[in-house]
Amino acid sequence: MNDYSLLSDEKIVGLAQGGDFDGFGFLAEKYQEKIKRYIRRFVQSEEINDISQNVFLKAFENIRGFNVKLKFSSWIYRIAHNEIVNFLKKKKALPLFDFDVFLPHLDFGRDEMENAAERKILRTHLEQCFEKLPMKYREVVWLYYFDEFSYREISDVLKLPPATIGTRLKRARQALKTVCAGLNKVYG
Amino acid sequence: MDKTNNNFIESILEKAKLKNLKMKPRAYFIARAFGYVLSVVGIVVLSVFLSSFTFFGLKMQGEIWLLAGVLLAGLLLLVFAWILAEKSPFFYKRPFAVGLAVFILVVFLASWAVLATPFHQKALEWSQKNNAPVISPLYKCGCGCGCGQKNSSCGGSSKCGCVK
Repeated sequence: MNDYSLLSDEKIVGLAQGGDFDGFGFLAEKYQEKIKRYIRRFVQSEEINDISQNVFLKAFENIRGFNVKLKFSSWIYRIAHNEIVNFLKKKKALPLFDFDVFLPHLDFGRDEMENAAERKILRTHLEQCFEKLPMKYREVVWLYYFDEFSYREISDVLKLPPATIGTRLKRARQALKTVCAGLNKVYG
Repeated sequence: MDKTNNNFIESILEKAKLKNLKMKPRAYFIARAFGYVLSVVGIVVLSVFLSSFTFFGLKMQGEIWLLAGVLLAGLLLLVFAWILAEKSPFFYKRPFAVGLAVFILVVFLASWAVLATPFHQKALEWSQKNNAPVISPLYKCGCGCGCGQKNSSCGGSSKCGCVK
């Protein structure tokens, strides 16, 4: 039997693709809490469990379509993102199109250089003010500050250019300054 | 693994059994990827055909309303191809406008290349010899060679190169 904790996610997916169901179980166990927490940020209903179950059912069904050269975390979050979008669309709680994805941005998609302490303070404020942020900024903020994804990984989850991710983060921080009084102490 | 985790994973496996879910085979994903590429290429080719036909028709002084419709159809197809292509990392990693600009440029250059060949002239001659559905009326009407006429008469334009 494999000791999955010694293997990378992508290696485990490789095994699962060959029919190793325990490997898939290990990954489901590893990601279930993160995925549930992510979904909970956008769906405030009793359907959170059903949505997260669907995420893993879809992952199970489509695991052979995953390219092991890519990151498994981005892939599973992409499935979760799609499930959230479908759910919100059914509830008519999502705009159809955001124009900021259409235009080129001057931000070239480099990750921001914040130090760990700054990030920690920002995360604390974000916890309190997250719900006050406009919907389109919440997802990038969550993935960047709480799940600690890079721009490139967020780009793979949301299928948006890294520069758009950078711009949304920048705008989200500006929006936070107005909705979250404590943040001015961090960013002046 | 704690009890809650166990329950969650068990409920997933139970649901998978209940829905009779199986891992889709790799061949399914290969076929899907192949179909995806083929559709994008096919739509772009169709778009190139329609846009180059529009310019050819304009040169031949064809029916302007028809040519406008054809160009519009070509543009819509181009946008559709671009929306499909946005699923691939090559396109979604770049701003959407850049992806669309690439598509427009490709179609424009390809149309220009098609116009430099006798493709449309040959197709016009062929459509006058044969009364093929869609293609013959499209060429005759779009090139000003007798809109709605079933025989191969030349209509008003002397540029038609009609087959006598």
